[in-house]
Amino acid sequence: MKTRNPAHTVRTLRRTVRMLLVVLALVIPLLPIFWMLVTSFKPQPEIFRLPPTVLPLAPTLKNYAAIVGGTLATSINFLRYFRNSFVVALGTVITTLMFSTPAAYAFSRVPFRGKRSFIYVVLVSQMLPVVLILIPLYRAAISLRLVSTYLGLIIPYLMFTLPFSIWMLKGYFDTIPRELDEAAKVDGCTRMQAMLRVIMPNVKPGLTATAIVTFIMAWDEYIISLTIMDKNSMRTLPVGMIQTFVGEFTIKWGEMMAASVMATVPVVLLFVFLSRYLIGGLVAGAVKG
Amino acid sequence: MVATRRELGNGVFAFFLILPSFLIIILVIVYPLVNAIVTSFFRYLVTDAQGMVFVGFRNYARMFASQQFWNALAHTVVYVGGTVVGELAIAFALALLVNVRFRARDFINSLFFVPWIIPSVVVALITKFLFFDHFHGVVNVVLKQLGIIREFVPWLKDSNLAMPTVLLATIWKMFPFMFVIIYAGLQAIPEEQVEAGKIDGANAFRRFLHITLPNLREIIVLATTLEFIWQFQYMTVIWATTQGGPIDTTTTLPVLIYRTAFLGGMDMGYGSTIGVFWLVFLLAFSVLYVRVAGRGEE
Repeated sequence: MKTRNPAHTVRTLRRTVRMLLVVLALVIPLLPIFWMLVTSFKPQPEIFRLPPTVLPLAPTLKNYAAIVGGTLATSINFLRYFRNSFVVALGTVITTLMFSTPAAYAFSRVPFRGKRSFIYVVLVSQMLPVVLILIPLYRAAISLRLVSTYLGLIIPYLMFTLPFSIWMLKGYFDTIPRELDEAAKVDGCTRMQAMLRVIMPNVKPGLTATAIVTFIMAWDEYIISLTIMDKNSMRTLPVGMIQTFVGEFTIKWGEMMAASVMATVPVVLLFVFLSRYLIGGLVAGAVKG
Repeated sequence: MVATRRELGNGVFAFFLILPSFLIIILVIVYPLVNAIVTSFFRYLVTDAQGMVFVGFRNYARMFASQQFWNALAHTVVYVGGTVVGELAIAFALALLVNVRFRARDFINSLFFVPWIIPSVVVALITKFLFFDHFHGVVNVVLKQLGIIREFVPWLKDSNLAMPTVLLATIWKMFPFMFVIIYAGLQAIPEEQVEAGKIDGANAFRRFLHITLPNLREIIVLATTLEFIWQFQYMTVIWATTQGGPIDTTTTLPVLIYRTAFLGGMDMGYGSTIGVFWLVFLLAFSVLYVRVAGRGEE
């Protein structure tokens, strides 16, 4: 048996303390989420119990049933808000990538004048007050009859998703070695072919990461949606949830938390399957840009 | 000759790749921005029949004379500053904590990232629930049990506590972005530098000060600038919890503009004026901040 030297023991001890701290620190991100989850499965009387129960004594799906079944005090089925959010978020992702991908490629690969001012344009575009831009956009939406339409919401979303997406994708294109372009040229590819057949397949993780971030942005957006989606049947999830749960005199915590869980599940699923791309992509974007 | 032709070709190629985005940006950013700047010089209430009446700088005069505006600016500075500083502190602590090799580190890191993807409205609803002022608000119950408070505290309805409460919720939602960036920065510090520091007999604190911080400087400047800019916009958590109240104590500039331009009389002229001021303010601040904090880079 090996004799243990004290330095080694100290190191092991420090390591154990550190790992304990890591586990303890996990309370910060997870505790509020845990509370949302358990509350969503508690029947109403149990939520009002003092002292509160940690895990539901009599777990129930009633809160979820109330939301899916439309027995809430809203005239609209909650699933409708869900669908609206999906259509808008997906539409935003597709539109954004369609426009941003060629632009990001150009900023990364093609030498042309005025390229360097691009980063400033992106930074400034992030500074523009969304509520300020919203004033003329809302007026335009009224005269173009785009109020309460999907397109009427997707177009304004481009004001923040498009610059961000170009910036993030450019970071990704920059990581692809120049030799690939040269090789493609030697093989007789035109610039267009080099872009589509050689560079694009390599940038798939970057496209995935950008798509996720764009989806999350659109899924999360509240104030533009509140303004543009006038009709209750066209409301997205965030607006529908606030209209349903805030300002009511009875506080339906159970249903509120169940709806919150449901609004969170799609983005968490995206994250579970694609977190590798997402975190790497964010860091690449921030560091490279 | 060949080179020039090629350059020209590049220009044309780039032009066609960028053109669609360029047009969209004109449509959703440049046009509305110009329009909003113009509107800021008009008296324009959607709800009255007068239409747009040119008033010169009268909206600006009204803004600078308005106590409500200055309060909102102060609240914005507190909210944005508090968020960025709070995020930075938590992100740094956590990133340093996990900056050793251990099993399942990637998994643990992704758990720390989770709040960032939780929808803002959900964060707001959870905040309302946790900080509710009756006995079903679990924060009150726990604090009372621990003897820290005697009576249940109406966190979001108290004019002194509402701002700290929304700040806390916002920091919780936003810190993961800072965390992954600082963590990536820590990972990129060359091992030799840390080892050299150890050999020179520098303790952990001095190594942090003289090796870690200088290496992270650029990344921190960038991440905090972005967060400053983004947090200035961010109003969802505030709007969905307090709507700017109680008595305006959580009314930041975006909340004020929204209320002015889209609620009540829908005063879009004056609302635009506040927005234009904000843009100028943020531009000036960002340039100054990057100049000062980014000093020392090329």
